[in-house]
Amino acid sequence: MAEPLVGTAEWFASVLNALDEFVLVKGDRSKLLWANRAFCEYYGMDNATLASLVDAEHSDPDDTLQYVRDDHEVWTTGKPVEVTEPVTRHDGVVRYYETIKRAVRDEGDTVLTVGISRPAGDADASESELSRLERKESSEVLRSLVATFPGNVVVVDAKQRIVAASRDFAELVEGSAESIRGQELEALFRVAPEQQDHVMAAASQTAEVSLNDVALLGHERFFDIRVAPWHLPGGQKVGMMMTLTEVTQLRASERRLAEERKALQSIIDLMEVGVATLDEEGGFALWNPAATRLTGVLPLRADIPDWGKLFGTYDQNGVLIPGETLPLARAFEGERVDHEVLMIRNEALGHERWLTVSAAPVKNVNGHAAVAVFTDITSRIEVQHELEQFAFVASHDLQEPLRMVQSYVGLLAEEYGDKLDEDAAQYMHFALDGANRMQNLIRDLLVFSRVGKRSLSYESTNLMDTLETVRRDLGSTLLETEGELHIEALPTLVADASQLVRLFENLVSNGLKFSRPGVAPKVDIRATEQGEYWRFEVEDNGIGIDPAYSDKVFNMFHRLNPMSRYPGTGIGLAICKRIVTRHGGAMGLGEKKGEGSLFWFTLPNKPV
Amino acid sequence: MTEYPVEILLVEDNPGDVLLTQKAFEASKLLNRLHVVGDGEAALSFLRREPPFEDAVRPDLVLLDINLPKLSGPEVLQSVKADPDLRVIPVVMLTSSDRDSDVRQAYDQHVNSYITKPPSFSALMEVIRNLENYWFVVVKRPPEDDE
Repeated sequence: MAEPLVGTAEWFASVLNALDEFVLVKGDRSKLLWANRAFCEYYGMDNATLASLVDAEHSDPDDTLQYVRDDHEVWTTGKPVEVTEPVTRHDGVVRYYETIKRAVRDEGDTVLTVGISRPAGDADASESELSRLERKESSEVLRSLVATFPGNVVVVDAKQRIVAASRDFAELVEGSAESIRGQELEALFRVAPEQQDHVMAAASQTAEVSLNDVALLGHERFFDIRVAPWHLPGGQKVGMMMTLTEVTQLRASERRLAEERKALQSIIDLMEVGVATLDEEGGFALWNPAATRLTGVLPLRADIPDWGKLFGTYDQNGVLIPGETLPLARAFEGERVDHEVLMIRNEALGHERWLTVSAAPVKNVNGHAAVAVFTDITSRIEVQHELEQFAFVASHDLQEPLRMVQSYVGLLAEEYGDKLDEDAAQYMHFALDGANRMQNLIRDLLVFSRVGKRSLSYESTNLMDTLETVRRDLGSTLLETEGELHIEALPTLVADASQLVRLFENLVSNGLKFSRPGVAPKVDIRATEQGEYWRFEVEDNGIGIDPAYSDKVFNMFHRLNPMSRYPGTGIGLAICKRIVTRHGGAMGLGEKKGEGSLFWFTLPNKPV
Repeated sequence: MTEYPVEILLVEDNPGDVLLTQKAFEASKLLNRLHVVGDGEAALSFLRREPPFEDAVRPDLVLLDINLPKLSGPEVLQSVKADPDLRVIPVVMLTSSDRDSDVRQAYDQHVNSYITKPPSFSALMEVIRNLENYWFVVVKRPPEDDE
């Protein structure tokens, strides 16, 4: 073998390799740059392998901490350090060595450290062993402390081997606090390669780093990780502490919420009903596509006072509704609005549109203070109008020709009656009778259509006064039938006064008309308050109504009794029911003890 | 009591109604003469004694329907009550309509009274009797001008 030339690198290497003492050359942060033959043989690795790691697998992490500390001291102070330290042999046996570590400086900065180690004497060795054990003990104390930490906490050394961990973390990685000691963190807490880079980057920082949504592979669990460097009092970073907060549920909830919100948004976008909300400042927070379709307008930043002109809102009498009176504006002021009908007409729409609007104030939903929903009832209103028109015009125009028939048949009967035989007389009688009945029907039809045609004019109505009017109107009937009318205390209500007169008059008149032969009719009227409604009962002692017909009896023109005994068109009750339902109430036949009928109906107890 | 027949102008286009009214007045105990015109324009011409009614007599009472060809009842009424010469003549609306709006409009235009045509002849007779009694017995009518 050729001898290397004096002064060459090979020559220096051969010199150092000839020693029995260990020679280790390190760079910054204990990075091993070169070790001599003696050390390599002892440690069981060649230089190439050594260069790529900080420590062998078989060495004790606690020892690592210590020498790292020592290296740091030399590096920063530039002063040599003498220690007695344990060095683990390739087979795991620990031997004590006396080591001197010196710094190699260049212009005041440390560029290398060189350590030379020789076996320690027994005394020194045992002393070292003792202090090592003590250190170990305090390490154990530290470990037991960390084990009790709540949550997932793990402390790793510079090589990311686990020094200490909380019980929760041990459980998380399916081990025990003892079994995971010394293991590489990477092996136990496996993350996706992309995220692994982030973790590595965090590990090399000297300041605190936060990582979000790190996924634990194989478990579908997500964690936010705080990585804090672990500095010893001297300043050297010896490892890291990581706190892992599981965010799996949180992320799942967030995802679910986002999906729900999307689903809700689709519903709002697709529905045929217009939905609009105002935020706390009175600006539009929500205006769905249906709202634009129904009103022809996208209100953007319109102020409430301008709404009337912007939308073109009119009430049932064709009067412009000012913005402040619109349901959504009133809901903004805290009022609940139930199914109000209004008409919209503007340039964008082209034609009139009728809407029914409900609105209410909204509490505890951020960003929304009031909501309104509205639907198109144009076709319904149009049909209604047409029907009412038709009924009115038809009945009005039908009366004229009918009058001719009645008058002339009547004349015929009078002027030629004595010239007619019995048959002819009977024919005329039926003709006249038919004409008379038709006239009554048309008259009642007119009344019925008028009840629906006009909008109700609400006023404070004292029902005791109403019944006085009824009593007066039916005065002659009461006398003729020897009938009695008893009225218990009745309230004052907000309602259409004239229609209530008609309502009570129809019911009382029926009660007097449908009496039992030989029994004087008696009609009782009473009222009870039931929450938002008043419930009225009109009871008579007459012939009564078979419960089997209790539904039919309110139909138009439905008659239950032969014409001869109880004349009438049968529209009276239909008119009554219509008046009641137009006021927002309900009507029906009640259970009656004994002979006679009991009609009940409810009227809303509107505030005056 | 009048010595001369009571002159009544009936403004009515329905021949059926004309005949009924004529028959009702025929049955009267009061001596009367019923003049009939069939449209609003003719009514005004009659009252103003314009051609072809130059020889028309001045009626003591006008019975006026609402629905008339040419000029309607309310239009005739308005013209009559606006005319200082004609407005003293009592005008009674005799019509099939019982609509509130029609009644209100008539009285608003100073009609003297408003009657809805009843459905039967006998009822019509009763109305005519009452009419006669009221306007020609009970009530004092405006005196004749000295011509």
